[in-house]
Amino acid sequence: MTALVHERFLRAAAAHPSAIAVQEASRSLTYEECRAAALGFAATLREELAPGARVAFALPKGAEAIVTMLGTLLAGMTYLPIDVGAPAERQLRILQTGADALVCDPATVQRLRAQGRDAGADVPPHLPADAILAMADRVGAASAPAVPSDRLAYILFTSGSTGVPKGVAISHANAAHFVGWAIDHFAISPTDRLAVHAPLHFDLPVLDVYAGLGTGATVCPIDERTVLFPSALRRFLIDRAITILYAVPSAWIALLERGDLAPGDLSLRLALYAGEEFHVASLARLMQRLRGTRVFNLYGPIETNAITVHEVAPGDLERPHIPLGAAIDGVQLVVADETGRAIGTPSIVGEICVSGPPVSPGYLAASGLAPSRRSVTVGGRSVSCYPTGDFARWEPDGTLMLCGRRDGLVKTRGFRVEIGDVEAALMRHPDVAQAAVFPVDDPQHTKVLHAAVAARPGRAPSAGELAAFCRRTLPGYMVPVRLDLVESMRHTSTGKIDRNAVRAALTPAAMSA
Amino acid sequence: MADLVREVLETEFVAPDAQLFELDGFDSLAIAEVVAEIEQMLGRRVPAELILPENFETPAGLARALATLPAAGDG
Repeated sequence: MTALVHERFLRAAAAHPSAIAVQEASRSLTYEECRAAALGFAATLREELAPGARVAFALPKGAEAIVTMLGTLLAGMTYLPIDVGAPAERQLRILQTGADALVCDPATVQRLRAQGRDAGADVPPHLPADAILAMADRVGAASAPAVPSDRLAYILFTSGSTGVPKGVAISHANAAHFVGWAIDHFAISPTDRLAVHAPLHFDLPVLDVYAGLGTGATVCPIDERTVLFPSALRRFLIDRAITILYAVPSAWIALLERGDLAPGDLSLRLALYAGEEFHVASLARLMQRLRGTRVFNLYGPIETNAITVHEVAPGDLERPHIPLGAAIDGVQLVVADETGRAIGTPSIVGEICVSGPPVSPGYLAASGLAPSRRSVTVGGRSVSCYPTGDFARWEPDGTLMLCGRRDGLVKTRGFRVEIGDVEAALMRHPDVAQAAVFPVDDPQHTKVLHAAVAARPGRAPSAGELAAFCRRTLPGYMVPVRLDLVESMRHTSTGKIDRNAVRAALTPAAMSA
Repeated sequence: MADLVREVLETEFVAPDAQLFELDGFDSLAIAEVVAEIEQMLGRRVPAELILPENFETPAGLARALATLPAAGDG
């Protein structure tokens, strides 16, 4: 049985008590301090909440957030990371999925309570963030109960198709499998220093935090402002002597193009990326500046975390795309055709379907968990798989090559966005009659969103007003970068918006922007 | 400088001492747009070592940081 992620942490803390577990700009926590604080927080949670309770947190990346995550797992409970930068409306919607407590600062809880009063929704009991590190001496803090591996460890929220956040449940067994694999595959050791670049409501930090704290390595959360500035990120990576950075290609490209990265600047042992395609030309430029660093492409939807890995070799830079690579240990990958049969022949495109220990037990639903499964016939046998919605083909060398996503789902700035969500948000504006949103290729962010909006008769909202409206109701990465007011939408014969026509009408203006 | 930020954010008013990081929509894309606008205005590239969080606290602070730049053609 694979050790659960918090069990690995306790073992590492016993083996390396005085090593630095979490290092921030102005303070650091040793493994012993981190262990004591997490067990103390777990004891508090067990006094106040039932086993399996859900603990939401809206905290910047840092020691309080990491201790909250560890303490919740040690208590046998489930945590829900909430984007600290998201509008209060979205934060409240996540809490309404069933959070039993909320860890945040006083200003955040006041803002949420005000929002909740307007919406007629309750905010769960508040646990103040500044008390999190001070619970080390709690009675009962010395031990933690065993946690069943099918218990939910955390819930990550993506944008759902109806505008309601969609909670992806991840069990302890799911997380333990991925983290155990990552520690072995990347030979993570106590001498490593792992940056935490991606926000905690994303799945990339699962590797940084738990593979780091599971081995006695040092975890260095990058504060939100540093992440915004490529030059500041470069300085951070140098000053903290980071050995492992896991980030989306957009962030690597910003570091490369705007951070003045020079060859030999960084002491990185591993450069890992996931979340969107890394175009070969940019990746080649990055690798010229990363001498002696091994580069890996990880791929997987949030419902499974990474399921394939590929080490980028110089020869890959001659290919049109970087392969997804091969399945990680214990994961079965199938490329399925439309009839649900596994495709074994190279170069035929089908949907990537996954089975094995990393597959999420399902999405949060009123009746419990709603799994997403597709039955695929492999060698005459039926296998229940998670259908990723991504399309790929096998290469003759046995690696998997990505071919694209199913309609309507796009990647922008490393986040997965359902176009329908953004349209739905625009349509909530009282002056808007119709909205159509299009992904447009962007060299830095993979895709950016452009919107065409038709106003209701007699109304004339400005583009700025609509953008501000979106910013109040959507996370920043879902807000269109360009909004065009059109007189009306072209329609197809079935009455649907003629997306191709609307998009074609927008393109010339978009090109000159 | 405050007007430039106001235009990028498509908002109503930005004071010279406004706390930029607290404004809605002041994200990595907005920062990139502000830098691009400044570069167009000055006719030269803003060096990476100036594009740091401490120089982007307020429009006035950003203007002060940019005042250290030599004029176009000098550098």
